[in-house]
Amino acid sequence: MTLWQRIKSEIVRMGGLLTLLICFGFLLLLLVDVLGDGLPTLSWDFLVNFPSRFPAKAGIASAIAGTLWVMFFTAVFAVPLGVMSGIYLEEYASSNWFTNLIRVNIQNLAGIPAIIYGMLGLAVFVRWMDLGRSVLAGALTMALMILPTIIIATSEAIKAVPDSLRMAAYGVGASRVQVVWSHVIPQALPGMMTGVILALSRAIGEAAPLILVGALSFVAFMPSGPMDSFTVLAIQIFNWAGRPQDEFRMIAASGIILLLVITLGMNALAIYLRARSVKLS
Amino acid sequence: MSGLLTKDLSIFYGTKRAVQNVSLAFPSYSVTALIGPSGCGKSTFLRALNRMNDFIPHCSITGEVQFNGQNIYHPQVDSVLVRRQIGMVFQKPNPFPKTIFENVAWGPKRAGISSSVIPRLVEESLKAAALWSEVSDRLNSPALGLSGGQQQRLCIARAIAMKPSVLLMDEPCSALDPIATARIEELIGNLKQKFTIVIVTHNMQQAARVSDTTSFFLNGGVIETGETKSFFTRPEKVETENYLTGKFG
Repeated sequence: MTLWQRIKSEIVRMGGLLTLLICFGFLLLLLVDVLGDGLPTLSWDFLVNFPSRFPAKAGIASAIAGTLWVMFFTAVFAVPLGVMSGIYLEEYASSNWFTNLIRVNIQNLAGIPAIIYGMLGLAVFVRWMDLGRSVLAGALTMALMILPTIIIATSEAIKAVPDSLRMAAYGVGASRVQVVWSHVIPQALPGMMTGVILALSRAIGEAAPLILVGALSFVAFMPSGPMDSFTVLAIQIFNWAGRPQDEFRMIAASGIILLLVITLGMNALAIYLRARSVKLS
Repeated sequence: MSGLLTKDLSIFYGTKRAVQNVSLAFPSYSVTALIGPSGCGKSTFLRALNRMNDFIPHCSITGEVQFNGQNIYHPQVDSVLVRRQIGMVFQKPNPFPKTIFENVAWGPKRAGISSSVIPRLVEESLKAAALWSEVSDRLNSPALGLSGGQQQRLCIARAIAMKPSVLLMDEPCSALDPIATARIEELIGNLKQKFTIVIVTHNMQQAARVSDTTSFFLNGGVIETGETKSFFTRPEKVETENYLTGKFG
């Protein structure tokens, strides 16, 4: 290597390191800021209390419950529908202009801003289906929003199953159902689950569509069923962060810590599942 | 009319004709080798014999493949049942990511064979594939832990567990070392007592060693078919002679 080549490679190395440090630095700044504001007020009382107009008494219990309700129904609607659509697209549907159109549209739908799904949910679920400002309306909206992501993740996981495996199974006289259920789905399962978890962890942090659907920001009771009104963590945080008092901003930070822990936990689970599937194959 | 034969079989990828008007009969309980340069259509032709081409988009055929007097492309014929009687061994060993036992047992189980006879069937099949002595003490270990040659014999065991009458082999030794290849070739010699075997091979010496009949494919057509001994020593067509002597290929 000449001196000049060595200098060039050093410049590239330093440049890469610098960009990485800038991204990481901001993340660290955010974390330090949030932890500094939120840790002192993060207590057991905060987790089990209802919101209050007094910051010291305010808690996040109803938002946790609302998040659990919404996420439960979101998963119930979106996961089976998304996974089965993905399986159908990859293993059953023939490749023609119509299925290609559908594929392209699903890719596009995954990139549509969440607020648009909120407007759709407001028009269809809240008004037209008359579900009101309920957990169910919110969950259906969220389910629509993450459906494309789940379908795409499922398709990709199925595409990654080597064709030689399918041919081996067809070669011993297996039917399509037998090949799909005994070989393709078990092989693709870790990939599908990774996609599902990442989609759900996106939904858990979304506030915009639920605000449009009409989630409340002050809920002093536990939602007890799919038709109850509700709030979720992201909306509660949004609400507190907008208050003028500094104390509310502190507990908003506490809420953010909780949301971060949940999201990072879900992502860690997804990474674990992927790593395990790599080790198995 | 028993056995396997093709009548005027042409195979198309879209509008491109990969195999044209091939009429071949495969003698029962003997080995037929299909040789020819890359891209001559021999593998495409082989896959048509048990409808594996059904999975390739835009692939279509004209003509007939007759098996025991029945055209296997007749609309009322179930391709799944065809493949139970005409098994296939692939170029690269492709065992299921399951245990050795499950690899052999999976097919028969799906075909509705009673589970009480499965262990015996697995043992018989592994013995017939000359693998039993090497794996009998570890039937429940993963098949992917076997060597390449063992995996390919496992794939042969998996195919014969379905008790097919025909075995199609698509360059079964091309991913194996010479010792593993020799074992598979020896195995093919034994298997022809029970099965009709059609083998595609790149390797002319292999065709000469294992087969009873050889067909030479070129540009999608069959140039010459003959008894293997005379085929390699006294080819009739000039193209065959040029290929055998290495003038092209």
